[in-house]
Amino acid sequence: MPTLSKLEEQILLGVLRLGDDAYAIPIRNYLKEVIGEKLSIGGIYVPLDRLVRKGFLTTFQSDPIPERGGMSRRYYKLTSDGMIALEKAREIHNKLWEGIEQLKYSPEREK
Amino acid sequence: MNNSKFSSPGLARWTLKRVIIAGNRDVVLGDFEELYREILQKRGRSQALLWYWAQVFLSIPPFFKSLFIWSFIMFKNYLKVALRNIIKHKGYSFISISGLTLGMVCCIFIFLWVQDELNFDRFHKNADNIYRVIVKYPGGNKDPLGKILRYRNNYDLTVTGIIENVDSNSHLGFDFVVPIQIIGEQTLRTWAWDNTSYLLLQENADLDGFRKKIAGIIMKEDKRSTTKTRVDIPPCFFRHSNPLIF
Repeated sequence: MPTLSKLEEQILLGVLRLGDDAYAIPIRNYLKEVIGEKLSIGGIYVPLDRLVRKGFLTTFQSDPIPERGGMSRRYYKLTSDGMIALEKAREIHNKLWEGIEQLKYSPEREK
Repeated sequence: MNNSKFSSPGLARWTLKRVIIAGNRDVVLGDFEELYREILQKRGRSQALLWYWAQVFLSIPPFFKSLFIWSFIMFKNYLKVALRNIIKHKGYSFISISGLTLGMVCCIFIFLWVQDELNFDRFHKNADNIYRVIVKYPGGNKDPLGKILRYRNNYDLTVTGIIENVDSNSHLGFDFVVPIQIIGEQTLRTWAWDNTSYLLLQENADLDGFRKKIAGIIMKEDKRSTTKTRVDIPPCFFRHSNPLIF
């Protein structure tokens, strides 16, 4: 199974958290909120498409919505493969962070 | 698409629709529409318009970039398909490629030849207005037999016969024939050196023996010949068809 990039992992977690409201705009807002960096609008579709291609996400289209000029939204949902991939990513994270109690940055140490 | 007063400007939307490369076109356009309306409500029309147009113009460079990349990828694909086709049908490929090559080579050679012919003797800047004076019997249409022609301001030659013009596809181009005795000792002495000489051999003559013999005579009789002198007797009428040999 292909591993997840950091952005992919973040997007999958965003989709998971947003639940039934997971389409491109809230996902992007969520990432902006959590990471603090602005992701370009176009930049959100590329990893989303890739995750769909990898089989970690499925999509379904909503009914046409008047606020969108009569166009429908595309919602995303995690697949079981996506869940497994996220679980694996968490394991890797836990292993990497195991035993590291605290991080203290002291400028003197670098001198 | 409804054209309510809240919807995005038509031209901008039209442009954006054509340059979207990521995701589903309609879905992405819908997302932009939603964001536009959000900004419209929060910050007013001018800000929303500015934002929408900025998105349009920001989308144009990546669109052309991807267009270029895809056409390159497709070109690579075509190349690969062509190569595989060649490998699969070796015989036909060989025939068609070699035929094409032969045709191209012929065309190039013809082109070069025509170019050379068209530029032949064209180096002079007045080439268009320069004409060659063709020597003819000066008497015009009068019967030249028995008349006297002055040759090199020295020899008076009586016209004893007339022959047809020699065909142009021969190297034996001449205007008149003179017996060698008339032109004199001078010419006769250096016949093998200064003039092209022709020999008519008997049908069953031993060519190699003759070559050796005549070479010996020339070497012996002519004072200018040295040990390096080479006597070559090529067949006369092969001259033009084998220009590279002689």
